[in-house]
Amino acid sequence: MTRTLLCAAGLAAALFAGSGSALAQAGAAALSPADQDAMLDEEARRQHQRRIDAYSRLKGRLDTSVAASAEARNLAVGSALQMVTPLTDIKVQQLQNRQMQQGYR
Amino acid sequence: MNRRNLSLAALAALSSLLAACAAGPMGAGGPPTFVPQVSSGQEVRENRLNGGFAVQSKQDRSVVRLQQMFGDNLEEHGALFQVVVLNLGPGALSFGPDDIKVELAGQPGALISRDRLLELEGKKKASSETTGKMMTGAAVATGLFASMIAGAAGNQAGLNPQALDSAAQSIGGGVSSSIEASQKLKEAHSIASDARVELFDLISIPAANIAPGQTTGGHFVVETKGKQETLILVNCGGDQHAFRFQPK
Repeated sequence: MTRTLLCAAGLAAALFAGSGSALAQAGAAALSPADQDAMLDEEARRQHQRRIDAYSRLKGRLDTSVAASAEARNLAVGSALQMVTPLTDIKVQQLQNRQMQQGYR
Repeated sequence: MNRRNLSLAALAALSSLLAACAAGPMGAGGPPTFVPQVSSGQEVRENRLNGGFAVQSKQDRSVVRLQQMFGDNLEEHGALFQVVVLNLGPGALSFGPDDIKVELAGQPGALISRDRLLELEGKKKASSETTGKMMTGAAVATGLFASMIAGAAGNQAGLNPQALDSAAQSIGGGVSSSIEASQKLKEAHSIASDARVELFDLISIPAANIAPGQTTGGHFVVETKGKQETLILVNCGGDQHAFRFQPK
């Protein structure tokens, strides 16, 4: 009796699994072009969101080099000016001295 | 007098070099924009999410949609694509980055793997270190040069010692600012480089099993070498989808 019941249960499980698989197969094949498009659109949207989430998480760090490049450029230009300025001052002073020596006012 | 003008011109040139170094690694160009060459069984679809166009290829057991993406930091290393796959077959299929092959101008090309990305980022870090050293070197050389000229010209101009000291301090401040800038730049490049590797991990295609009627997708980077005709082959459950692109 127990054996009969187990066999029946096993048979039912096998039939159910088979029908589930058949359903999945029929489901995939039976997808209309519109359904296929909708599924691909949904996956594309999911991937789009994945990318947006990744960016919002990393944006600060990804932009670090851009911000630092701009800062470094400004610092480099500023420091070059800082180095050149005394030379310009000296040149002006030299011109003034020469003008004074030549009697210009 | 002419000699001094020459020196000032040289100084200006060195300063320009300094500024150019601070602009970051030289010669960084983006990948080409690809125009899809649609063949039989394929069609172009508008992607309403980003306003771009994707190519969709349908075969017996799968549908694959491919689109080039822009505005991504990973584009420094190649062309970024998004792929989306739908399993139309009767059984589950496995899909991952290994199922995508590339040909550039008829020759085998490559997708950028995580290992390759680490290698490329390593090279980039080394290049930014060289840039930093160049900046430091240029700053020190410029500073020395400026000090020499200031000393000689200052004496000739009859500047008092206080005025000469002030000039020297100003030049020294400029040198230390440049060195500080180069160090900051090096650190920033390193942080951004690590973030790009993390970005790659977050958006790349996961290796997955797709049940019938299910989808998967992700992003991949094709290592481009200039403007070349590019063929991307996507193998999916026994189907092979060939996507041809011409660089614009």
